[in-house]
Amino acid sequence: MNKKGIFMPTLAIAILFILTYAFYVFVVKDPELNYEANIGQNVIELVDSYKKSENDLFYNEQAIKYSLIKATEKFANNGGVKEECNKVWVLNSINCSPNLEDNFEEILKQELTNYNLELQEFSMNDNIINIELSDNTYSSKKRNFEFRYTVKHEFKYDSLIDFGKINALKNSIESCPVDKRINQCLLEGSLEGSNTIYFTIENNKNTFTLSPLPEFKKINFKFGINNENRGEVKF
Amino acid sequence: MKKGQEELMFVFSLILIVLVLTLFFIVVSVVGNNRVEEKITSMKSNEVNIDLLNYLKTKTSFNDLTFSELIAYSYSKKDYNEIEKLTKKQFDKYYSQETCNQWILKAEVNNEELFDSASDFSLSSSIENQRNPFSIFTKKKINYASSSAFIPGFNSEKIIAILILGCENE
Repeated sequence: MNKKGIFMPTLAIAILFILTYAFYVFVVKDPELNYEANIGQNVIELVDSYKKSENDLFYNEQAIKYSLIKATEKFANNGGVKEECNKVWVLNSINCSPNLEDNFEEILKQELTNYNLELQEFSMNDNIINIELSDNTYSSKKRNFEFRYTVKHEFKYDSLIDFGKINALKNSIESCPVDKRINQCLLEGSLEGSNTIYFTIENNKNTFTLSPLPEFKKINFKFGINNENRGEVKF
Repeated sequence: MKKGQEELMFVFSLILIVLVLTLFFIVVSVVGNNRVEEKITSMKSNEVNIDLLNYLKTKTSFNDLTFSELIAYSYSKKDYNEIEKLTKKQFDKYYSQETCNQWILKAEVNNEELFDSASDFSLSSSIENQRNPFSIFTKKKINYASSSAFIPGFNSEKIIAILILGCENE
């Protein structure tokens, strides 16, 4: 066989071999090339996480708002103490002591569980309620790309009732000497029944309430204290 | 090798080379087409999500409630007239001057539709327009993007609000 005759078949076989090898190397052998082709996949995941975090923040913000409304109504209806106390405060007692912030926090915790939320931190300052839930973390780990995005769930709300006024009344009652009747120390209460004096703190603004049905009404906080047996007051 | 055989071999080799090259380009183009970059539709969806959240946070003329609160309120009262009316007013005002003038806002609980409010130029008619053979002369194409967000109900129900937005591309 002369050189001229063998050139074309050799070239054809060489091309076949080179192209097959190239196909194997670039397409079959390295399937991760498909990954490289997905332009923008990482950005999409990042944007989706941001979107999800914003939606979660919004949901929690609303859920806390509704829980606060319900907790405030329950708290006001109970006069700031437990339901079994029938709105009557007994200072320094185990069940009916007006530990207002603790009692409110307890009711709020219960209301939040209806929305599968867990209260982490609670504080009150000048009728501003600060609420903190656990942080939400959004993450993804891929080849050459990893992110971890943590969002703090901290919220501030205006209180629907005037805690400042209630606390001022509480301080006045606590500082009223034991040998004096409550209505001698405080003039704003009204005597109901034989010996219990009641105080009402009115919220003059119509508030959106949820119990028993959604409606707009004024939330009034009313509590009573026994003129003679107001509890052990320490001075 | 005889001269006749050499020529025959030359022709066969040439055919083989052409066949191999053709096959290679077909395979590469098919595989390549499968790897064409994705459209980043998520970006558009994120813009719709921002619009949806802004809508849900906007205060309405109904007792100062926000749209999300009004949806929850309407659900508790089972009366959706007010929310439908105010949603239409809000979106028509916001989107009428934009290229994105087709929208649907709806709410669902457990896959049960509560209400929907839509632009006058509905999505269904625009989809029909796209199939219209004459639409090729208009050069207008409508791209749709959607987003959804959960909003809490007053009794801890999970209401889902969905916004579908159609924008014209010239």
